[in-house]
This record gives sequence, structure tokens and C-alpha cells, in this order.
Amino acid sequence: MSLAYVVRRLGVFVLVIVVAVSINFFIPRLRSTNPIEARMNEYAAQGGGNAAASMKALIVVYNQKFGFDKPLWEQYVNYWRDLARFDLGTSVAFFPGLVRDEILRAAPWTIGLLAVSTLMAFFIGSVLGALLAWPNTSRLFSIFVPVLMTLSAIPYYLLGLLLIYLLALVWPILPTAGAYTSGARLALTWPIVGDIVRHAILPAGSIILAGIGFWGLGMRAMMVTIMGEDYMILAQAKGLRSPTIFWRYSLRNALLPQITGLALSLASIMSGALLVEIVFAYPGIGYLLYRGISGNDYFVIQGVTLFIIVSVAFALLLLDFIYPLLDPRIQFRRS
Amino acid sequence: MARSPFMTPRRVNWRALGPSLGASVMLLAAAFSPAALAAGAPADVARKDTLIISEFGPGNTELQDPQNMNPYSLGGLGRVRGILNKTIYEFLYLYNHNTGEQIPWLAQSYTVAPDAQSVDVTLRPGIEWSDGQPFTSDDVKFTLELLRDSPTLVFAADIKEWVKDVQVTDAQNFRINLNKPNVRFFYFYFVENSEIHLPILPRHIWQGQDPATFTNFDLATGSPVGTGPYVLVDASGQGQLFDRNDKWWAAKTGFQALPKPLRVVFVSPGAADTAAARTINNEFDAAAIMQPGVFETAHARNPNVVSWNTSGPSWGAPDACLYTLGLNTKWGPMADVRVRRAVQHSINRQKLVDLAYEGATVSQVIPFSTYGGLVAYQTQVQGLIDQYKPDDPDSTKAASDMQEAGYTKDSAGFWSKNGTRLTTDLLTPGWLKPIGPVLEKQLRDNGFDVTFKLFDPDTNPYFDIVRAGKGDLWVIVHCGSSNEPYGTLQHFHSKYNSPAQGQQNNYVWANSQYSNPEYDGIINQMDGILPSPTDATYVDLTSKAVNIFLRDVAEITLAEERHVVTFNNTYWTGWMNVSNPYAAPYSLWAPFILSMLKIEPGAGQ
Amino acid sequence: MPSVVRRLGRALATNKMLVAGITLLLIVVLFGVVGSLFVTHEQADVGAGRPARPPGFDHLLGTDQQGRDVLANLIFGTPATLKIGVIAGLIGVSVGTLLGLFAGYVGGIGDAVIRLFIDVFLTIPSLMVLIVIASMLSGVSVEIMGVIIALWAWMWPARTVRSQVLTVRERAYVQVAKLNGMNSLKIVVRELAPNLIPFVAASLVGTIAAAILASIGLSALGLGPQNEASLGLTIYWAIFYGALIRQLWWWFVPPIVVTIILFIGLFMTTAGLDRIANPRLRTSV
Repeated sequence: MSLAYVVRRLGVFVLVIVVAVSINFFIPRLRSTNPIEARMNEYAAQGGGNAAASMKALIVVYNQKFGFDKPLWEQYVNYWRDLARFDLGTSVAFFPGLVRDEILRAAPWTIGLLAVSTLMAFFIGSVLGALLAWPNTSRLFSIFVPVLMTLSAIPYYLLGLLLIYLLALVWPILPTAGAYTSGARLALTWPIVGDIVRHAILPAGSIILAGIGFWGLGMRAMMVTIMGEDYMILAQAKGLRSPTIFWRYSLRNALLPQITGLALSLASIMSGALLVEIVFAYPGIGYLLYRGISGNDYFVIQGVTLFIIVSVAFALLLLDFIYPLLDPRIQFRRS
Repeated sequence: MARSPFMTPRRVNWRALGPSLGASVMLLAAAFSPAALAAGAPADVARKDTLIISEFGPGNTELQDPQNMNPYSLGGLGRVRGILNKTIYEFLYLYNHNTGEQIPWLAQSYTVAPDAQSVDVTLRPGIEWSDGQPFTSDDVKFTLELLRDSPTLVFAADIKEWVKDVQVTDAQNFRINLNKPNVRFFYFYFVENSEIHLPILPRHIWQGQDPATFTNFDLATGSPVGTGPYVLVDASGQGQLFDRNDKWWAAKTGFQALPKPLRVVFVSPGAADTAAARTINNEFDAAAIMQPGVFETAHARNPNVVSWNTSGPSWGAPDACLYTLGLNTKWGPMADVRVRRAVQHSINRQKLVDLAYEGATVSQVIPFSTYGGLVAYQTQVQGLIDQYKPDDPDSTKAASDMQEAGYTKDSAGFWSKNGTRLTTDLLTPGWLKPIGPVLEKQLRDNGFDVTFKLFDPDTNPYFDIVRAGKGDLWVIVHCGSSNEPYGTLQHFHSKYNSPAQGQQNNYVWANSQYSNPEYDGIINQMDGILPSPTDATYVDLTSKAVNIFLRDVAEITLAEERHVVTFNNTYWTGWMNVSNPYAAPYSLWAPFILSMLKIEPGAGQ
Repeated sequence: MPSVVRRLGRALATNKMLVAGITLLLIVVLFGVVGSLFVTHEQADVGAGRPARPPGFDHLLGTDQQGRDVLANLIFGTPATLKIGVIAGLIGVSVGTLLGLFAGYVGGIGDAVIRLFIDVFLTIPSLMVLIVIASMLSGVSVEIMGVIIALWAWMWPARTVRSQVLTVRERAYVQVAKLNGMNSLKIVVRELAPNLIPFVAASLVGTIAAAILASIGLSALGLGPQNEASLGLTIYWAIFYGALIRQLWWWFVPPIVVTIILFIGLFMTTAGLDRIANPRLRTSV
């Protein structure tokens, strides 16, 4: 790995953050209403607060607290300053709760869900791969794949609902929704871990089903630029033993597209996970974002969006550092 | 296609397959192991002793910020309406919306002074906080004066406007002194408890804390402290858990029996279909509202899933709100009463109910709900309704109204005046979405060039436009008629108008911009009278107001808002319904606690 | 130029994937265009029939809960969905191609900057940002939605075009043209562009596919245009009234079927075009 590569990669990472933060900052301001007034309107709309004058006083107080009375550029600078201190702001809806705390509470659930999805995907991938070893599976395969493609054309949201309907209602073998059985006290015991995993199967399943199509499309795009398998033929011609071929050549080379595919679809997997969390009431970051949007809570929307973008960017950064370790060819390509 | 990493020609390579398969199998084993399956209820309280309540609808702040137990922080009304108002906090009075009965609870009685500038209240003796301290008048005084003096708290504005101070006579007796006379003050803020809830705070805990930032959450010391029959034991984004307080004051004094559920769980149900599926699977005992058709399916699958009414198509219960078409009576094309009449003649309310709400509610022509308290008044004004015939969809009449107003149909069939076509938006907020397309079609069919404009999920621009008098037609709900006509009729008083077009008015639900000195006079008089269908003056004033309302088409009431609330009889039965209407069935409203105290264990699964 | 046409002709004859894909697409497009000759807008309006009726003679695909004839609604909704996808696709591919051409040919700092931006936008989860943006605007029109989706559609075309330009740039005939003193613009148009057409075409179709799916996804959440029928909006109302659990299959299955046919058609077309662009490609999927 050359220094230039590392520097460039870090540069991209930093730029992603700058752009993300800026977009993040401006997006909520697309709306004409000031978030405090928005919150006030909602609260008034639910029946309280007849006194207009007092409301106006309240708005002034909160504007000062949240800094909305300053000019836009100053708000922008202050936003950066707060971020530097990891202060994602106070949630307007959940005042005095802190957005950062809520994200930290929700994040483990999303990470867990994605981890379960990845494991399941690997499991399924392994099984499919093993099937390929047997003769006559190519016909099976060519039916199987279009079916999966079809499934992924269905909007995520509907797919999740379909799964609930089939696997939790019609044949109730899996829990309907949530991360664990309502009323449970969380503890690190086998039954509870099992319960959590059971609840994660449907959501993880729908993430995978939904993602397969995009993964497939992405892989196709990769195929266009990946070279052929001449090296495999060369290796066999050289008389190398199969395990050697496997470990030294095909595993590494096959893992590359797998990882690249993962990298490319990471962003879309994240988006899919978001919708899945909404359908399954899974208390992760996606669900938090959804509630922020429904509740007009700018701070939550900003905080969650930022968190997701930075996480994805960071994951890609890591992948980009692992990549060259697996494929020495990369170094030559880059120069 | 790249070869799979786990395959060599005609041989499965277990070395690579192994670890991945192994890990997955282990986890699956854990998931489906007998221990896990049995641990479907890993709680230490059996399911049959647990009451599971799901969020009524999305957006409950109690779950969004589960560790903020400050009922007055800026979370708004949602702060206690999710679950706290039936577990931890109790109220001075409860109210049965169905009959209008006021139920003394923490208070025994209250008297409004003849000049309506103060209210004397007597508390029940023997009330204790969950930490054993006595609940007294000092706590009420502390709470109200705290609200009065802290402008950043929810309802602070209201209390500041009305309450001067609270005078404590003794531990059980106190007097609330008002800044100006208000005959309805106590009812509105302390009795009705549907939207506005004012939980009393324990002075010994809150004194010295900064009310704006205090989270009131410390399970170790028992915070949040309240007087209710349950105490909080766990709170997270997935839900809140409450265990029964066997030392509840009401059980001690014999006022009430201890509720049967040992544990109450409050969770989020997920999206609508998910919620329905979970209800069918007996995961919830008191569940979220459902669309009528979905409810029928759920009930057919699982007869234990029930709602308010025992037969359809209108399964749901009223909530004192009415679906309404608001019109700008002061500015724009709707300012002409003949145009408003034409619009009313274009609307087929029954068809609207059928298409938008699956026939699951009733059409209404005046803003009165079908609650018991209003029925008497409705009968008394029936004559006026027969006279004005507001529900009379008739295209010819609509056309003649418009022609009278000077409009003619242009080449495309839309009404125009002086060469300009009447074109406007039908402003629709997200939660009233179904009405939009249906009304749009009815109006367009009658020559109005109307396009429905949806505001979802951000409804703020909608309110901005409507409250500033810049809209012509908008869909809205009109609430307030829980026990008396004044509740909604008062909103047409000119004091609610915008000072000028483009400036916001001062009450979010009173947007008609209607201005009529005669009407103002009627409402001013009603201000000072306690409502009663047998009070001749009150009834007479009501008739006069309704007469003007119908004559001038101040707004067009469409139908009653009804929600299909759902209960599940599997684990708990005895829920309120049309045959047993001891309280309104809304889990958001404080009187719901009555059901928690009444339910008995069901047959189980 | 003629060589491209010849290649195209030969490709169509032997490229079953492409033919199949285009056929499926034509079916969908004709469904919308021809279908609208047989149904009126009235039928796709609320109240056209009694609510939630299963398929029958008067309503071939039944009615939805608000009385719309499902078939009529579908016929009018399909072109609207296609429109968003095409707008987004065209904008995205145009912008992407221009940027890719510029980056590939000019190189240097311009290239570095463009590559940075491509990487940045690829990193950001598009659907999430789209949801956030759409929820900020109160009410979007078909055109605005197309533009918003296009914001996240230009990266792949840019990348593809750029790498192609890099490859072709070094080819002999380009060098010769340069030596002969041909100016850059002429080189781009005469030498580079014809070789790029297959790639651009493939990108276009791929981008349109992604855009259509994104728009259906957003509309299904209620974030799309409300005043025109579209596939996503139909799905939204179906979910709203619980069509799934009420087993009103005639309401939510048809739009899904159309979506699937569309998706498969677009996928096959992309695959077919890829084959033309890169004849070395051996595909088994």
C-alpha cells in the first residue's frame, strides 16, 4: 500500500464528512418553518396553549437556546463547533434528551441486525456455493436467481409486510415485530440472546431478500471491469495442487468481488435496513430517523443522517485498506 | 461469474464453508432451542399477569425519549398521554365522555365561585406518593405556581394566563385564584383530561430542581414518583415496564381495589399492518387504532380482537372531533356566502364517508359530536337543520348559487367571474389524507377548479397558510364538543381572526376568519354560563348561534371522527365498549385507568 | 459510424438477452399507451365504482377502497412512473457522461476533483437521503421528483464513461489524430464518442431502472407526487387501507407485477447492452 493511496483515501473520507455535514445542515432548512415554531405548532395543534403572546415569548426563549436567531452562516460555524465536541444537539422533541444519547441507544440494535443479516447472507451464499459443486445445479441456479431478482423488485416496505403476513401470521413460526419479546428485561443470558436472534430473523431476511437484486446489479457492473480467469488456467497448467490454487488464487480473487460488492451495496443495504426497521418496529437508528421525521425533529434527523453517513464512510475506508492487502495488483493499477 | 470461494471442481471445500456454517448453526440453535422458545416471555412476570398496551398511534414522545420522565418538558402533550397518565400520575378528576359524568378522583369535590374568579377544591384524604409521603394541597400549589413561573414548560402559557395563585387552606383544601373569570377553567384543565393533562408534581422531589431540564428519572430512588397504582421499573426505546405498587393509596384507603395486572408494558406497535398482525397474535391487550376493513379481517381471524361497537360498519368510537371543510369567510372567493353555499351543495357527505372512511362513521352537519352530552342539544336544534338543509348535494342548486354570485362556467366547465377562473387548492394535512382526493373530485364535478394539495409529513406549512388567512379551502378537524356546543361554537368568535391577511391568528383550530358582532355577542354571553340542556338561556343562545352558523355557512362540517380502537380479550377482558360505556376507549386519555382497574383475567391462549 | 450500426444489427440478431429485455419493456410501455385508449380518466378517479370490489366484468381488476378502477389506475399510473425514471435517468446520464468525458480526457486536477465527488456521493446512502429530502418538501411534482432522484444517479455513468475514456484515449488512432493536429473537441466527437455509445446506453438503462425503483419506493412511502396516479402511490394506498392483511390481492398484486416485469426487462436490456459493450464478457447470470 503506497502512501499516496492512503493519503488519497483519507482525503476522500474527510471530504465525505464535510459534504455530508453541509448537506445535513442545509436540508432541514429547506423547510420554511423554524424547527422551534414547528414543535410549538404541533404542541398547540394537540390542544394546549391558547395564549398567542406567551407562545411568542416561548419561541424567543427557545430560539436563543437553540441558536436559531443567529444568521445562517453563524449557525453553520456553530454547527461545526458543536460537532467537534461531539455535541449533536438537544433533540427538540425530546428536550432535554440529547440526540447523541438516543443514537447510542439505538445504534447497537441496527449494528446487530446488520450483523445477523451478513451472517445469514454468508450462510446462504455458502449453501449456494456448495450446491454449485454438484453436477446439474446450473439449471436449478438459473431458475433460482431470477426468482430472487423478482423479489428484490418489490419495494422493501411491501416485502417486509409480506414476510410478516406469511411467516408470522399465516404460519406463525416467527415473531411478528420488535427486537425482543415485549415485557422482557434485557440481560445477557442464552434464552434472551436466543429471543433476540429469533426476532431478528424476519427483519434480517427481508434486508437480504431486498438487497439481492441490487447486489446482483452491482456485481454485474463489477464484472464488466474484472479481468478474465486466465490466471486460474495458468495455475492449473503449472500443476499446482488444488488446495494451493484454492487458497492462493481463487479464494483471494473471489473474495475481492465479494468485498467490493459489499462495499458498493453498503450504502443501499443501510437504506434498506432503515425501511425494514420501520416495518418491524425494530428500535434501531432507522426507526429513530423515522420518528424524527414524523415528529419534525431537526436535530434527530441531522444527527442520525450524519451518524449513518459517517459510519458507512468509515466502513468503506476500512474496506479500502483491506482490499490492497488481499490483492497486490491494486498497487500497480493505481500508479 | 466469479467462482464461489467455497468450491473447488466437484468437491465442497469444508475448510472455508465450515466456520461460516458453524457460526450460523450455533446462533440458529440458540434461537430455536427449547430454552429460547420457552423464554418467549423471558420476563419474570407471567404473560397472564401482564397487561401490554401498544402506542395508540406513532409519534409518542414517551418512547422516543424513554428516560425523560418530566411531564412538562417540551415533548408536548405526548409526554404523559402514552402511558404515564394511567400508571404513575393520577388526576384530580376523571371524566366519562360518553355520558358527561365527572368522576372525582384525587379531589372529592370542587366549587366554582359565583364570580367565576376562583375555584375551591377539596382533596380526598389519605392520598400518598409512591415513596410514602402524603399528597397534599401544597403539591398542587407547587405545581401550578411552578407552571405559572417557568415560561419554558408545556402549558406554562395557559397557566400563566389564567392562574393568579393558589391559596392553601389545609392539607386537603385549597383555592385556585384566577386572573379573569372563567366558568370552565377547572373543567377544561383538571376534569376533561383528554388532551390537556396537568399531572401534579411531588414538591419534595421537584423543589430546587430546574424544571426545564430535570429528567425526573432515577429508578434507584424510585423516580418518577407519582400517586398512581404502578411504578416504573424499566425504560428503553423498545418499551417501558411498570410494576404494580401494592402500597397504592387507593387500595390502602379502600377507595379502589388493586388492579389485577401485576405488570404493565408499553410498547411501540410498528407500522399499521405490523400492529394489526401483532394484535391478531395476542401480543397486545390494548392496541393501536386500525382501519375499519383491517379490523374486520382481524376480528374474523381472532374473535378476541374487539372494538368499541359490537357490530359494523361503524366499529369505532367518537372522539369529540369532526372532519370539517374549512372556508375562508373573509378573504378570497369563499368570502361570498353564496359561493360557500354552492360548495356545500356540491358535497355528498355520505359518499365521502363511504369512499374515504369505508362507511365507518356518520355524516354530520353541525360541529357536535355524538357523545351523550351533546345529544340533547342536537335534538333541540333539529328544526334549524331541517330548515337550512345543509346536507343537500344538488348540482343544480350549486350552479344557481354560483350564478347568483356572478359566476359563469367557462369553456372547460369551471366557474369564472370577469374572465378569471376560480382556481384554488384544497389544503390537506397528512393525517386527513383520505378526504383529499374524494372532496377534490366532488368539487371538480361541480365546476370548481380545485386541486388537493397534501402536506405530509410536514404539516407546518399547512398551518402557516391556514392560520394566516391565506387559504381558501382546507380540510381540518374541529374539536371541542365533548359535553357542550359552546366547545366548538365559540371558535367562530371574531377574537380568533387574524389581525390582517398574512398574519397568524391566535388559535390553531379557529381559522374561519368569521366576523359577526351579533354572533360575538351570543358567544360572550355563553362564556359566563355553565352549560346545561335544561338551562333555557343556554339553549336559546345555542339555537341562535347554530342559526347563524347554518345561515352563513361559517364552515362545512363533514362527518364525525371515529377511531377503531382495538382490545384483545384473550388475556384480559372487561374493556369498555358501547354496551359498557364506563369511559371513552382511548388509551391516550387519563380515564383509561378505569379500564385497567376493571379488567379481569381472560381465558388465556 | 456505419461500423457501429453494423455492430448493433449483428448484436440484436444474436443477443437474446437484449431482445427479450426490450420486448418486456415494450409490453409495459404499450400497456400504458394503448391502454389509455380504452379507459377514461373518470374510471381511474375516486368513486368510479363501489369500494373494494374483487375483479368482475365491470371492473376487470376490481376496485380499490376509494372506488378507483384498479386497471384504469394502473394504465394511467405506469407512464407516470416511467416518466420519473426516464427524467431522472436522462439527467443523471447526461450529467454523468459529461463529467466522465471531462475527467477522463482532461485528467489532472479536474479529474481528481470529479473522482472525489463521485466517491463522496457513492458513499452516501441514497435512499435515506432521498427520504429525508422528500419529507422536507411538502408535495413534490413528477418533474421535481425526477430531479431529486437524478442527484444520486449520475455517479455510475460518470465512472463508467471515465474508465472507458481512459482506455480509448491511449489507443493508437487517437494518438494519430492528435499528431495530425486535430483539435480536442473533434477528437472527442469523432473518435471517442462512437465507442462510448454502447456504454452510455447501458448506463442509461441501468440508471433508469434504479431511478424507477427509487421512485416507486419513495411513492410507496407516501413521499411522491399525490395528484397523479403512479405505481408507488397505488401501493401506498393499498398499504394504508391494509390491503395485504385484508387479502385484497387485486389491488396490490398488479402494480407489483408491472414493477417486476419492468425491472426484469430493464435488467435484461442492461445485460444485453453490456454484452455489446464488452464482447469478452462471459455471462452465466
